[in-house]
Amino acid sequence: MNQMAVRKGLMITIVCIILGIFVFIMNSGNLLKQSFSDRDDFEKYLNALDTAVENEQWNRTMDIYDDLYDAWYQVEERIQFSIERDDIVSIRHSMDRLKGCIRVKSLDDAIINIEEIKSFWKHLEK
Amino acid sequence: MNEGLVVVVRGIIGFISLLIFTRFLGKQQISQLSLFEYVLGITIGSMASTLTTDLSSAAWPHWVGLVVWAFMVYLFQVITNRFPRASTYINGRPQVLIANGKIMEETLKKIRYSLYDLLEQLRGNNVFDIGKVEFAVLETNGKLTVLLKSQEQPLTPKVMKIQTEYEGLSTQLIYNGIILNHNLVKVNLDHRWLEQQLLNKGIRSITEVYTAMLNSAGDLYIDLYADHAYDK
Repeated sequence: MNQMAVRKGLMITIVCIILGIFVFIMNSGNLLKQSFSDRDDFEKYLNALDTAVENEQWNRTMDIYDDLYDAWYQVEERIQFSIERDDIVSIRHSMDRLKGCIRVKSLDDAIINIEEIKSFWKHLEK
Repeated sequence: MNEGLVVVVRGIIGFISLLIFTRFLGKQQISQLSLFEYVLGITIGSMASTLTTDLSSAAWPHWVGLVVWAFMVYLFQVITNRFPRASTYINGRPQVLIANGKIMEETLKKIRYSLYDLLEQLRGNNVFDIGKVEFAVLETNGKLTVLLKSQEQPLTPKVMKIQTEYEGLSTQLIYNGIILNHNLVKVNLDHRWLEQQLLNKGIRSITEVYTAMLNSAGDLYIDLYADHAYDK
């Protein structure tokens, strides 16, 4: 009888752990979008790009953009299980537009796209 | 975004969640479900499928929906178990379609049940002559329960006053060529006895046996992979 109770308790614990893992995976976006190394610090590169664009340092912006793109690629791999596909696609499109703005050195459009990316980033999983 | 991988992960989440919730909700067979529970089951299944493949929305809201609906089913199960009167409002009540050998046309009309539906259900109960039926009740799960007229009911040993012996469950001793030791211990027998029984039937190796079952009378049923069944 005691053994039965232990087995039942073990089963309930396992089920709770499984459900807990599922809940974590489905809500892990906010946690996993944080940087874990220097290379995936999306926010840092976005702010750096914002400053470079505002100061019209066009010779630096493309390098920072490349770092931003790499950072996003790494973050996207982690958050894709809890984030809506449309949000991910929106950020990608905004980044592509931003790249175009940087190439033609359009200050206004670049700032608009950076603000859009900031907004998407801020509202990921909200 | 690796959509295939995301669907795999979400599929695993949906499948195992559904498995856990349905186990939690009980062991009712599909034929025992009321119409209400059947509809709930479809809705919950639909949510699980959306959770898996609809990547345009996050998995979390769908999963919460799944939990809420599963919990509501559980809640209604508890309510209907504790309060039978509430059960009649939620699940409806059984309808008498044939009473004292007479078809209740008004009831049939009320529940939009045709005579052909009734005859089909009677045939499903092995009744091909409606004249043999005393009562027929349509249960809330959609099945028809039939009571035959007393003169049409089959004879049983009890009616004939014949003594019968207790018949319990059989115990499986071999499955897929492997001896199930725990079952052998349960019936106070050992390998030597089992091997002797097999030898008596001309079977030299346990690996030839697909299954062996011991009934409560002590008779051993053996089925071989070679499809030679032995009664004893």
